[in-house]
Amino acid sequence: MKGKILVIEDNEQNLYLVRYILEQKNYEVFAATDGKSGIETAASLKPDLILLDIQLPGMDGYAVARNLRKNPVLAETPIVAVTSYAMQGDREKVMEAGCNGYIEKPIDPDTFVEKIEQHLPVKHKR
Amino acid sequence: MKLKARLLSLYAVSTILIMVALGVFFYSTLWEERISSVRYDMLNQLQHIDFSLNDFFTEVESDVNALAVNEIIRSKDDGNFTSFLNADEKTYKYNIGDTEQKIIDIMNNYRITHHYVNSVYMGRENGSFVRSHKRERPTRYDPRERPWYKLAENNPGKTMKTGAYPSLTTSDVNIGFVRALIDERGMFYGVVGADVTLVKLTGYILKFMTNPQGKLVLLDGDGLVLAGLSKEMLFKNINDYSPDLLKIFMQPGQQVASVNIQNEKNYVFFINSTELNWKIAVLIPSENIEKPIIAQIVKTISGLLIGLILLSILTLIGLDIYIVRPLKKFMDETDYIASTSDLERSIDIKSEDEIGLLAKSYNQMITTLRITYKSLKDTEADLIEHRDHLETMVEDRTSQLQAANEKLSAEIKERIQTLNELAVAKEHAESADRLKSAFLATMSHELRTPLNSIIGFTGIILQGIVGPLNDEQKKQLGMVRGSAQHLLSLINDVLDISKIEAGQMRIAHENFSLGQTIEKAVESARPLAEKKGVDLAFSISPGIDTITGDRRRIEQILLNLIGNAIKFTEKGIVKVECEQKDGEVNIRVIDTGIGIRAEDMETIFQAFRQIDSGLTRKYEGTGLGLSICKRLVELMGGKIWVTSVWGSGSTFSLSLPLERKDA
Repeated sequence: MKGKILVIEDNEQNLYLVRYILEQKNYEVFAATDGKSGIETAASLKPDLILLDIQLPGMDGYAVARNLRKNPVLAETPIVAVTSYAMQGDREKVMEAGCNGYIEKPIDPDTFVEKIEQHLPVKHKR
Repeated sequence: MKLKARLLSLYAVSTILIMVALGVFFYSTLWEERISSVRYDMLNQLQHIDFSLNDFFTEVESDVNALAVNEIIRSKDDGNFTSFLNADEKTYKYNIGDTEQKIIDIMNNYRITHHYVNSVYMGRENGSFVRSHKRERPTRYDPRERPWYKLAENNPGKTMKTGAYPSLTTSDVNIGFVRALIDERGMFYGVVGADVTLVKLTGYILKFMTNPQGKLVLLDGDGLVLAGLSKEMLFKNINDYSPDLLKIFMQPGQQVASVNIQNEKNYVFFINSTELNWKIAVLIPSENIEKPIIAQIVKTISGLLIGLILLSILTLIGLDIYIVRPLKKFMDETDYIASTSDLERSIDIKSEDEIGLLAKSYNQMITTLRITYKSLKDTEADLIEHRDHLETMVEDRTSQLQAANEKLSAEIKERIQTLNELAVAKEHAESADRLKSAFLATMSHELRTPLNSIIGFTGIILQGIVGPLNDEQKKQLGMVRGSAQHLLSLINDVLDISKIEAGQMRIAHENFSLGQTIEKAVESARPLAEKKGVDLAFSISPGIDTITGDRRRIEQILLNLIGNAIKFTEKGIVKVECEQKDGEVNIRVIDTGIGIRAEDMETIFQAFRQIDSGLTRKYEGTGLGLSICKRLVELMGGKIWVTSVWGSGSTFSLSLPLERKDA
């Protein structure tokens, strides 16, 4: 296994898609379907990277990112936002909330993994 | 009165200034004169005292010499001088013989006739002591041990002067004149001496003082007070009186100096007596030196003051006669005119001076006023007549205006009501519009979520990761992906237009290379052109460099225009040109396609407009692309327009400012 990735995503199909793509590339994938459980899982799991949907039921992705950054254990963990919010200024809002990167939906399976690996620590790279 | 008061104070100030200046000047000049005259006078007197003292001491010296050669005093037989030696130490009763008594008489006689001589005495080698008068408090005494005795013994043949010494028996300070007694064979057998008391010397020298303003002081070489000052200071060092004074005396050659003694300024004048090695000085309080000067200054200044006061009084009288009274006349006249408006009087001043001239010109002015006033009165009467007529006219017009005004007010009220209704309607419309835009934005977003998995999964399957596909499956899945991507672009367009309409579209501000952006757009459209067999070319004129704006949006516009051009061109060429001119960049997308009909030119940039439903079927698209382009260009401060010839091609042009100025 190349590393642990936590995916926080409420849409079942999208979660399946991302999990499938990442597992194909030998990543260990963990999932959470809302912000609250995502924060809890992240704290116990200490993943190598977190993929975060912004539009989540209840607590939204911005709040989740800010909350994750408050935990000293996760202070350095890369967080990549995956969102269909394509408005201009969304990128800035996402970065302000504490994310390291931003991938727009719909994702392109051909380039998705490559984009994520830019944010992973060197040891996990191919 | 005011004028007089001012002049008076001017006089007072200048008088004070003159007095002070004169006082200072007189004081400094007179002081110099005074001090040098006092100095001359004092030093003269001191020289005189010195001379007299020398004279005096010479006289005492010769008297002692005379005593020393007196045959009776010179009596050689020690047997005659036993009374002192044999005297009872308790009672001091002396058994005096004839010879001794004779000597005592001579001595006492001398003492009485020379009042400054305190005592005359003789000491002898056998230890006996003879004196002109009895000692007041006899004690045991050996003359041979006394300094005066030794002084004479060591200097035979000369009369010696002792230093000043305090008397053993009285509070006096004495100076002794002593001489050794030597017999025919040269044998020393005693000393004869006379004491001059300094208390008496003080009285003596004071006789020489013709100027009683100061105190005379006589000092020995070490600063001991020998005479003068007070009795308490006698034989004490002058340092106890004033340390400064001692310092002055110890400086060689100085003859005059000022010194503070007991907080009083004094002048000291002194000379060094070379014969005696004494100092003779006089102390004068500076007040005593100043007194005559001050008196003189007061006299001079009083005289001047009286003169100035007289001058002031005369000037004030003159002022009153020549200026104040005529001015009063003027004032009375002007007051009279102010209260009565009577311009028939004139001023009667006949003098030839400035006041007289003023009166003349005043009278002329009054005459002119009189004439002017009269003509004004006439005009006023005319005006009153006109006014009465005017008032009626104004009343008429006013009532007309009021009527018109009321009518207007009613109209305005009606208009305002309409405006309010319109504002409410506009508010409703705007709120509905905002709701529509928000709805579209949310919808677009919701549509993208399922599209994500459609495009994602078809992509994975097409990659062959899940399992191998046959050609037909690949073709059909490719169509699914194409349709999904088309759907996505439609949604993106709807999202863009709704964002623009909701006022949420923000334009980035970054520096980027326009040339590279054009090239990138052209290259990403090239596969489409090649597929259709249309040539695609671009030319960028030199000098196009970095511009400031939103790179992604400009790329989006270019892709749209180039895509449209390729879409509507069946054969020929699509060309992109770019040049810079007057702070703007101009980009043209030129095609040789079907062109646009003249009647469609106006609506082509409007949203949700289809040029031709038949065309839409043939060329897929929402009809939103150009509308989005136009709005984006305008948001960036630019312009977009089209020229076209139906059937032979279109040219879409846009111009953008190099530096965007925020609206």
